[in-house]
Amino acid sequence: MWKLILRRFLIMIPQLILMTILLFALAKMMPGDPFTGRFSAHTDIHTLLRLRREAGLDDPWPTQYFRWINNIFHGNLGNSFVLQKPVATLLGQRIQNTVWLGLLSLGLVYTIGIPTAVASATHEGSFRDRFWTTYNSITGGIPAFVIYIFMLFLFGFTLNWFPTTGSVSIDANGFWPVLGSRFYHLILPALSVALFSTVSLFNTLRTSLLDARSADYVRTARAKGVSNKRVFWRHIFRNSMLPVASTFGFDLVGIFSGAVILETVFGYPGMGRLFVQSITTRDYTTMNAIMLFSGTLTLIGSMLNDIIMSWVDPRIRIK
Amino acid sequence: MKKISKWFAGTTAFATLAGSAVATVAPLTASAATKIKNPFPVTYKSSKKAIKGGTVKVAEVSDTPFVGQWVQALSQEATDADVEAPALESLFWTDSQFKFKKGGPANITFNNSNKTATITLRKNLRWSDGSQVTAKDVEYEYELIANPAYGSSRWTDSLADIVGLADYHAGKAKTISGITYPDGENGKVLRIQFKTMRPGFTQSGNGFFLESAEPYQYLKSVDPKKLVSDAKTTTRPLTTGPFRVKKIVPGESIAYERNPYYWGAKPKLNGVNVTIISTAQAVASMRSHQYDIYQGLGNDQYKQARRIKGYTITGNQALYFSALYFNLGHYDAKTSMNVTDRKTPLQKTDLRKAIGYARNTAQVLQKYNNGLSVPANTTVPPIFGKFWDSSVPGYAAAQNLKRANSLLTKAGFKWNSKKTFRIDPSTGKRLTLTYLARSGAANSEIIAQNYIQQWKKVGITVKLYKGKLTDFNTWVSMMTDPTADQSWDFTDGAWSTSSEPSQTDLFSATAPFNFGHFASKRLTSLLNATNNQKSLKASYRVKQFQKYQKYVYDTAFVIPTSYSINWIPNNNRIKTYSSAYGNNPGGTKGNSWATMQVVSKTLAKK
Repeated sequence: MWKLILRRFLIMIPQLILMTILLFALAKMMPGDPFTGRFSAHTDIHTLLRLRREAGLDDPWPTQYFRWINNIFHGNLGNSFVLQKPVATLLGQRIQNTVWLGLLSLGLVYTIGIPTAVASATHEGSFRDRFWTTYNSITGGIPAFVIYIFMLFLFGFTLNWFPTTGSVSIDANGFWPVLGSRFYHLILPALSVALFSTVSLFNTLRTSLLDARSADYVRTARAKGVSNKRVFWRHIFRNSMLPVASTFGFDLVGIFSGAVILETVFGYPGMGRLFVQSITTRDYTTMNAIMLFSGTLTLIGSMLNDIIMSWVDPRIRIK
Repeated sequence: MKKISKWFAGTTAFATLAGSAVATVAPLTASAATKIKNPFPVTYKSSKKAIKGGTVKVAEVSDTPFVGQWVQALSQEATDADVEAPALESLFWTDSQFKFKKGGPANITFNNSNKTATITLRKNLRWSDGSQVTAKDVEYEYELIANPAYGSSRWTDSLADIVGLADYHAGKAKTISGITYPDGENGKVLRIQFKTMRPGFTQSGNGFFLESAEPYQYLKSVDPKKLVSDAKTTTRPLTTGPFRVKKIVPGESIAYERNPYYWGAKPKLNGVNVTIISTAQAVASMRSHQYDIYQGLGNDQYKQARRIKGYTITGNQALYFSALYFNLGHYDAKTSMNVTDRKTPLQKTDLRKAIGYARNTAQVLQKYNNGLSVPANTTVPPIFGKFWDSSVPGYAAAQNLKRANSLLTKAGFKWNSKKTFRIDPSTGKRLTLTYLARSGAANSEIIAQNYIQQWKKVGITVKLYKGKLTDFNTWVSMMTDPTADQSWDFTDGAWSTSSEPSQTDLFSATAPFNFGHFASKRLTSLLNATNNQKSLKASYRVKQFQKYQKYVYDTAFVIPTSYSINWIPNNNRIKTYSSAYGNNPGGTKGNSWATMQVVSKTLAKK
């Protein structure tokens, strides 16, 4: 197991280096820079050019790249040109919002997806099966942003059941009211994700459960007189969870990639929204830090997948 | 009222500061006297009786979070000016024409013979922690801007007119010799010694001196390099306005409470909450009656917003104009001079005029701007009252293809045999020009193609730069970098102007923002005349502005395109709301946030 982890970790290093070069080059290829929007007739052009020079934006790309990498190794992600704060502080504020939203969404997806898949597979061909299969076919076919907008307008703006912007109410004071307000702000976006994103989990698990039901080891267990309940939970369910487990790492990473649209629609101030804003304002330091963070997370997610799979299925480890 | 700077306009990301200038009730002097029509009332007054207290909810419509920088010298975002308005107050009050007047937190007087300005702070002017605002606090703002260690981007050469400030900026002096304290640093009087007195001194936003103060004692211990991100300047600020910060959720919202140390009358409201909402959510939010005031709505949202019940839209002319710039030369970075030397048929004035007459500007504005933009006749917005010359006909009021054709023929641009295009006499080839049109709005492409069709009608072949629209960032790079590709012939520019009408920063021979690089002795002399010593006399200055605007029209080195109207929907539960400029004594007196009241506890839905 340790060998596998080490091997996967070593593979990550060249991937990371290549990724940083690509990310940096892509960011620099965009027209404009953080000072573009600051030009005004009452701003001295020489002052802005001096500030741009001091920020190192006039240096050649390789110089800027190596300075960026060097700073990262020293734990310095730089200051946001636009938001005037250390990028690490900004990310710290936004990551927690995105993580809580992502975990709640993911938790709800699994809470809804697994029981419905089990109910469907154990009652194959029944009304219950047809209902959940149809539900997932419909919800899976609608683009996410359409769902988000629909949910926001129905439950946010029309029924006024949930807040429509922000992560916490400005009127909430004290630990518990703030915590409650934060949770309240999470419910609508998390539910919007959960109710309409179970299709992949549902289909994977349902198919896997149906396949496992007729597997040799299940027949053997039954022949040995093992109870139906025990056969299902110990043999069928556990083995059927393998394909679900194989995507768990990517689901975790998906928290951040999916956040871009989700947070933009719901006006939720997380990493995804910060990323979009940093692109529009050419806030290189913030943009690069977020891209590096999500890229690294994707690589870690992939490594995590391999580790989980080898832990759940020892045959993979041996191979 | 906050100082208003000139900004590139044209994208929502770089909204103007003009929205923050909403202050108290005033008649719309300029529009009342001219043909520029404001479709909205400037002031809304509810007939219902106001209730005691209440909290007003303000939505700031923006797709970027507010930075929350409270030190003016370090602030660079228009959004900040809007969301901080309830707590920030300029040192000086102004009238509806942006002229300084007495009665505000401080008064300013000028002595032209001694070349000094004396700022006298109110005795009861205090910071929101109860400490006194001192003369040193006023001087400290100059230190923050001029000392490069603080990293302010607001230093301009206009400030170098203050004796000793340029030396301080260059690190040659440790103090600013031209700023003195007749009553000591902790006193209430500050004297500024200038090298030259300027006519613009009496106008807010002139750029020659500052109109705010910062709490020196509170901030002096912070490392200059860390000041910009310190909690004292971002989440725990000291301010002088009618409200003070109660709580900030960074980037999202600010809760204000009454400032018990406010020098003026006790604010009527208990508090104000300001929240950032995205552009996409704004209209739906209005329909749900979530906020009292919506600041920063885009003109493309007006059609949906105007019919929502429970809101009244107030509006005023914006400090804004747009214009068509012709590329006539280059900016010499070594000499910092614009040189009009480009070999182009556009050097012929009649061709430039023909391009102006051939556009159907008024039709376009009518169709795509819902009456929120009107054709411009000069580069001076009408809100400047007598400085604006209404007698200049301009090129945008009505399309005149006949005039355009005759001008082109007169200038020697003859039709080809099939009369499908005109010939450039200098090359003998088809007259073809390149239009650097900007993207940004949903209808940018349609409008650009429409103009190209209009020009074709008079025989001018126009192609888009690189065959497509140009995004804002690329456009700014091309305009501000003299080494960038200059193979374009004309482009659209737009400015949110300062509240001081001088156009030297925009069109002088030395202005880096003179995008067309047109320079002439006559233009220099006219621009200088609006700023010289004789112009200290207001009537003389007005005449010089009129001459300047006539010259712009006659030479057509830019073609003024449009003026715009600011509009703000406010809920009918607000007792009085005004989009008037200045601290006007009519209706409500002083700071509009201090006098604001509501007539019910919940938002009005009708």
